[in-house]
Amino acid sequence: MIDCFQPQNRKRSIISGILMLVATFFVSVCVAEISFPESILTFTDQEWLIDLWPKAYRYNIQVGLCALIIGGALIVPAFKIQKDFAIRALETLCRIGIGGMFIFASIFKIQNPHEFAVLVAQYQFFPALHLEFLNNFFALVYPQFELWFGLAMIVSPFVRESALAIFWMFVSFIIALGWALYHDLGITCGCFEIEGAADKAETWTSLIRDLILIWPTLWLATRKNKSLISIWKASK
Amino acid sequence: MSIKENKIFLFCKNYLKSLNWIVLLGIALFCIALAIVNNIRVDDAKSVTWIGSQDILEKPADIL
Repeated sequence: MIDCFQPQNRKRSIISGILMLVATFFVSVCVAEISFPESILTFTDQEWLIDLWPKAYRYNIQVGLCALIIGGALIVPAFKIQKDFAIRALETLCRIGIGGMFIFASIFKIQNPHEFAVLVAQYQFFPALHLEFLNNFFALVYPQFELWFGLAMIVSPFVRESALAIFWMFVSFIIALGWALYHDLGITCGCFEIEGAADKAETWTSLIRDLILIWPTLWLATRKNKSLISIWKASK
Repeated sequence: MSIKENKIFLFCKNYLKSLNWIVLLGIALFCIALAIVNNIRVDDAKSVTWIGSQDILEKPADIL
């Protein structure tokens, strides 16, 4: 049995687990506020709130960042109370969260390569590098990377390899979004749905989300290769 | 090269050595193969030519 489940540590592990669960809730609220308006965890577009304060929906980034800070602050006592449990829980949650997000993001792109290729072309990144011919091939292969490396992060023990691949994908997203903002291209990131909306604020929110999520991915890239089940087994 | 730079270089070198490159490249090749299969699988309207680009759409006038 691993240390954190020994009878003398059980109480501390439970408290640490509750704190981690609450922290997960706040981080999920952060992701929902920044990336998924109208989801069940998005507070700023709740009708009762809009009735009370019609401009509430404009503050989704601020609310998301506050939720992230609260979530991050809750992880600190969870680590102090039972470090061993908190590290294992954090690794599990990060792997499921980031891997799941990549799987989810890849589905619509795989279903419609043409639309994704059109979206990639709007970034005008390849023409600037004189590599225009790569646009379609990139749009075909990239969603597959997202799906399979996301899946590998959850179901395989190769967390270092999959996290490193996802880390570089985040780097590419950050470069692309920075490029779009710098050149005032007026396109959304197209991370989770293909849409022709022209809202620069959404590009900023995507950039902020990626800048936040790149850090846990980098941390995962330095962890030992273990399956999700092996994380909860005693190391020999 | 300073001691700090040397440490970073060594860390990166050891890190790259610790990776399972067969798995990494294997998944990458598998993805390329599946991308090709997927482009054949989807309808003509949704598939793209292997090599090429798409038109750049007109920038919307109502950018917020």
